[in-house]
Amino acid sequence: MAREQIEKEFVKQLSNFVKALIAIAPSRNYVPQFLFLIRINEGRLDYKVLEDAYPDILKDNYVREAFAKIFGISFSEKVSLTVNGYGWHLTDFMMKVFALFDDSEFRAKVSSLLKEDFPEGIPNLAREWIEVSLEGLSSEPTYGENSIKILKEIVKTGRLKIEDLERKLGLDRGTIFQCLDLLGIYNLIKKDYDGSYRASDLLSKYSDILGGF
Amino acid sequence: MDIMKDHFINLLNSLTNLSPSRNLISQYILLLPKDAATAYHSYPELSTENAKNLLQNFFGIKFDGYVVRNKDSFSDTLYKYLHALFNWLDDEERRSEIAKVLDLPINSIPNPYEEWARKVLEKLSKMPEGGKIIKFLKMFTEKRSFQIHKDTIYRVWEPFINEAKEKLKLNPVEADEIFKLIVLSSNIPAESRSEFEFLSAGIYTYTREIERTFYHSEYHLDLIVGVYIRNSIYYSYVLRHEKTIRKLLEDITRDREEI
Repeated sequence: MAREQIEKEFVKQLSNFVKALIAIAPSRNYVPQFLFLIRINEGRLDYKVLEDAYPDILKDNYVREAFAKIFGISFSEKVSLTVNGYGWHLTDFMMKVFALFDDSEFRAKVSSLLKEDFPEGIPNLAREWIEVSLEGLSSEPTYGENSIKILKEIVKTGRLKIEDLERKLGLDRGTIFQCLDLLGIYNLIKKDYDGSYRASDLLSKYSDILGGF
Repeated sequence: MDIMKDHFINLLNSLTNLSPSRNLISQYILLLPKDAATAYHSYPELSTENAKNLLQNFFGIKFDGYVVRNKDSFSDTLYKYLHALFNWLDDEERRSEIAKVLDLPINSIPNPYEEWARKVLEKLSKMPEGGKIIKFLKMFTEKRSFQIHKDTIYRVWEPFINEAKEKLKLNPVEADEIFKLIVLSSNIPAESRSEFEFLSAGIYTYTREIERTFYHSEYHLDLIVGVYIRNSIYYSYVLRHEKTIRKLLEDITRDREEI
């Protein structure tokens, strides 16, 4: 094969490979998103939280039971991924894909090779996930708005305790606890040993996105 | 519900596009380790400067006398994931569930393992000794399982290989090569997993620990799983992907009368 043809074939294979990885990202597909949200919560999440977010899957008995068999999911008070079930393996892979696309050098290299297919460069799937998480968070009818306020305050200050949030935002403790739970589900915050809360590493990297909420 | 179905279909299509029968990068990663010369000649597209740069710096592939995947790298995770994908969709009951949820005929649900195995068998059948390879595989799939005392586990394959040598007129080197191609390659590490099985016998319940070891052949037809029940004196090798391989063998035999 001539050198030019070989290089063309590599670019074609790379393009198909990258497009497939992008298509299975939780920011792009509802089904891996559902699985990924369970996985980032140590493999189990409250039934009610998922029922509100994914009624198509959880409120239909037939679909719910089918998903259990297809992906290896256990549905009870907590929804959990079976270790070594397909859902578990897929989310393992997704985490590695995230890390790959989060690498700016990778994105630069691949974007330079795939200019035709991605004239604006290949997407940053990790950043997209933060955007999708914030969209999901802000659309939560009861605690969404206050959760965003709390998150902005934490990002601005760096590290805050419950008492600090009460004082700065004038919110009652119960509301703050609910909001922090919600922020934890999306892995947007981390709790430190001293009881204070800070932004997760991924959110810290892309905290500018908060400005749009 | 329609959004869920559309996304599920997109997921299946994308996962299939990642499979080694459809993408050279996945195929290359699946079939490592390879010696550098073979890797170069078999995959010239992935031996260019741009390709090697990408594979080495971002996919965790080491290029030396041998081309290998680095442990815990992206390519290592993809390798494990591809096997999970094979196992997931080469399951008729599961594909049937997927078909029902999506309201589609079952034959429209992809089977990446079948696609891959078909490609492999077509390639093997066209080799100079292709007829013997296919016949060896047919003989092997007729056995379905091999059980042996755990103290003589290293000799489990002898009786079958001797039978194949006699029936197919194979010399020891040929028999060994074919065995590595389609059953078990010692160059490729196996993965073991332990599970507990809960059983009841009348009013008693007890658990037993089962260790399953997934073995690979050169082309990852992955036909056998080792099964050991803790404290048993026997070790078994059980056939995997049986239905799919039998179907493919029928297709190949029908298409190539000389086999």
